[in-house]
Amino acid sequence: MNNLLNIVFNVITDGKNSGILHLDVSDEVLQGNYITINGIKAVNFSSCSYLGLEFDERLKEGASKAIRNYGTQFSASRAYLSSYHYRLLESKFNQIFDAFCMVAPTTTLGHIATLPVVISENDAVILDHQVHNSVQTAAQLLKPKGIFVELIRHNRIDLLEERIIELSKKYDKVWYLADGIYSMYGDGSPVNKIYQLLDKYEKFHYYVDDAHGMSCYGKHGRGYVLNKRKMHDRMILAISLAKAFATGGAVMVFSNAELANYVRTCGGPMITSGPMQPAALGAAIAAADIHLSKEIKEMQNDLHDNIKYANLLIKNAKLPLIKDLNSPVFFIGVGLHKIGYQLIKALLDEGFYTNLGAFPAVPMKNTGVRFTITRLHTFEQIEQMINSMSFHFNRILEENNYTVDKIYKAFGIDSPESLKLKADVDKILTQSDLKVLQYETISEINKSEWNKIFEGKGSFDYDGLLFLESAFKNNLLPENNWDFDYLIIKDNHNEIVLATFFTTSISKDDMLSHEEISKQIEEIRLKEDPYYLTSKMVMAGSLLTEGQHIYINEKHSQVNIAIQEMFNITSLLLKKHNAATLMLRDFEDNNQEMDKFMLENGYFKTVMPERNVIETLDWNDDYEFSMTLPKKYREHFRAEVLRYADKIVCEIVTQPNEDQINHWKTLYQQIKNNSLKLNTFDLPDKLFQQIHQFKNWEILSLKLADSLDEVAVVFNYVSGNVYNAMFIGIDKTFVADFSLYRQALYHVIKRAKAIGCKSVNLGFTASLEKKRFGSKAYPTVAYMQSEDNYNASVIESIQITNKQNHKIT
Amino acid sequence: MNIKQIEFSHFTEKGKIKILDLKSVVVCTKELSKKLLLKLYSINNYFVEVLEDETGRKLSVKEVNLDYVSKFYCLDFSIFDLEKKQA
Repeated sequence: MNNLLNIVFNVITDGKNSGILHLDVSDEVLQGNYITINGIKAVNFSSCSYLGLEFDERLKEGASKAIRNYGTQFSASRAYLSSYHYRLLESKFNQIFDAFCMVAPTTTLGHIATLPVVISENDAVILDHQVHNSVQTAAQLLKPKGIFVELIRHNRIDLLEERIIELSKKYDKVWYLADGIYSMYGDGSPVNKIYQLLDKYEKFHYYVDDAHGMSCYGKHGRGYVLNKRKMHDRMILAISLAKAFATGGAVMVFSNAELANYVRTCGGPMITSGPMQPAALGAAIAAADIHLSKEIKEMQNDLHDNIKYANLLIKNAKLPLIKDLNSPVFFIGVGLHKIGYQLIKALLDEGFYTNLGAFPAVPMKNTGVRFTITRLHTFEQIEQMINSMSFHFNRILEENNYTVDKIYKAFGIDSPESLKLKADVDKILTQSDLKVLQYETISEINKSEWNKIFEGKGSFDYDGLLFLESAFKNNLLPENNWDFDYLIIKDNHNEIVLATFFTTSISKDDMLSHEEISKQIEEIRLKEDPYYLTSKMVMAGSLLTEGQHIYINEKHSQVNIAIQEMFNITSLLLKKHNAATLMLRDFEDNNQEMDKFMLENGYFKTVMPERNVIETLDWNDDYEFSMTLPKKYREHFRAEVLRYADKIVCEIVTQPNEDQINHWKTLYQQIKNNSLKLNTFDLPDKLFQQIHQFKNWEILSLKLADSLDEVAVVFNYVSGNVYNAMFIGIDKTFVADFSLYRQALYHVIKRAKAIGCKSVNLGFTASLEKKRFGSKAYPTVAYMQSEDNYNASVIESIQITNKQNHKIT
Repeated sequence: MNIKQIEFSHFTEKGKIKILDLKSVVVCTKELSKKLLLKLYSINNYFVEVLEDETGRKLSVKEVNLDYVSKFYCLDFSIFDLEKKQA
């Protein structure tokens, strides 16, 4: 299972276990807009049948009549035969849209039929980041044809115009694929501005899916996009009939007959897929008649009264409505998953069924309650539901020590009250009796206090951090300048409950992606933009340390409050450093309790490379060491390590000259350039120049015994009785001849033993090689939070396609 | 929840009737004929005049200002009558 699927599986399973997802409606006969779930009779606030036409007798009769006359299905490809219903229905849609229409069995099939036919190899495609999944799925079909496809930030017309100008130089047509009304937040495409671009740029084409706008707006219910507008010559409209139209099926709307005929003739699913069945066609004809009558306007008015009423109530209740558009889709932000679960469950218990809007449909911290308003709701139902939501929303927020202001912040929206987050943190601190101490440099912290916790845990004891602060400040390149933030939370008796440190730096968003993905991205970084798909990240620990960076006194009675404080501080740090992503890393995997806790607090889990540790050094010589290894590795040790031992000499370097330092950089670069498993920026020059001057660092230099040429270097940090191999450089030309990497590991272990260390941290990656030396591999995970999942979406799309025709905008 | 007059005015007539059914009180009634009544409703601090048939079906809705109410509905109205009723 890939990482994203894993996260999706965990999120949905969690929702399922919480009793809010994968639910069944048990009614044999539906009574209006009520549904019964787990024995609870609830008003359905999740239906996309916005006009309630599914209960209209004319539609039911249309479906019945078609079944009576044609049976339950008319099974033939439309390339051969279509029942008369199709022609009749398409002619009615031609009237509704005043354009040329083609009916398809589903919107997804409509997209699949249309996009590969209308978009050619010489065209470029720009996908809105939030365009419906069905459009994105169909767009995947373009990539194997070599068609250039890129994502653009949601509704950013300014960026869109830039891209149109740029791509027009190279491509025949530039297509923008978007939704009319977006299904999650219910916000709309800026259609007026897009029409202006259509008028301004001849190569620009607009492909828009108006599934949620159909029937609810415009003459004959033409939808949100065509509300008070005509079809533009260079636009294609996709309409779902499975929402307000209430019948199932889809319509593709074209501005000219020739193009409609071309798609009808060549579109894959129009040739090979099954048709819409008689019941749906019969109902659709009846629905189309209603749309062509004056009645549709009345229905739209009823719906919009309900929408207005809901908006008024939400405003009055001061609920954080995320997008303020008069659409039937509403999204009340709650921020964290656990709050969403609790609110949806509380509403259901009171008889109101609403949806959870959660990752991956929205970024992790942008969870919300999504609900829809239909014409069938009464004002009483709407008022009761929103009153109930208001009551439980405020209660649950208080119980979770969360605030409306944090929700607005998570969504990047200013709250009406604009409460300061700092004030909230101070308030909580007063209540909890915990002291939160923050520092920006390790030198402000008591050395023995810090080392008492972190010595022997990795290279981030006091002196290790002094070195990092020196090496990663005042460098030329922005990625080599880190911000340091230290956090210590103590109780009234000065006992430390939690301590950690954070570094903030520009990091590569594909740091933990598959090597193949990083390889593709690196090519773009090399050719076009070194900061492509990078962003500022706040990280517990740093890119040059490994181990348990967060100390938690689990036995302390206030440990949960302390953890909550840490979450509050991390939110502040994101804001302080204007960072997009937060990573709490180096946790051992397979801790389901931790997974659940982190998920509830808005963190998703991501897999890191394994940590490799040699836990004991209880031997006295090579023979004894080999006997500690599993039998299968003993022979390897003899044949692949000891065999070359006399060819290599190892020295501890304390006074390198400038040439040697430069040589180390070259050796490091040779390894770094070929390893993308943990894809990071190169270490700064200053680090190599200073490292020998700092306490606890040991530099092992490996030289060829005969020529004394330096062929490898290992930089190690000694913390307490733990030896930490931090990074390495190897001359690639000698790797095979002398098993140099193994020689390096061998000497690291020997050196650790020689100076009396008890264990060796061998770092991430190359687990197999390290296992051969008796190391234990610990599956490791990080928990992440992202203010914006746009870059992740771009990376994920690369993952799917495995092609090089993707770029970010 | 209170609905302000400006908010009320944005609803269709059908929507206004729904709000009247939920949020208003009848202030007084005028009989126009055996089959038609004019009723003055109050929502918070503003008035709405509704034409109703003998079954109570609301036929039309009109928002009216205080001046209209005083001229049309308060001609025969005496504060003393109200006091008598309350007593």
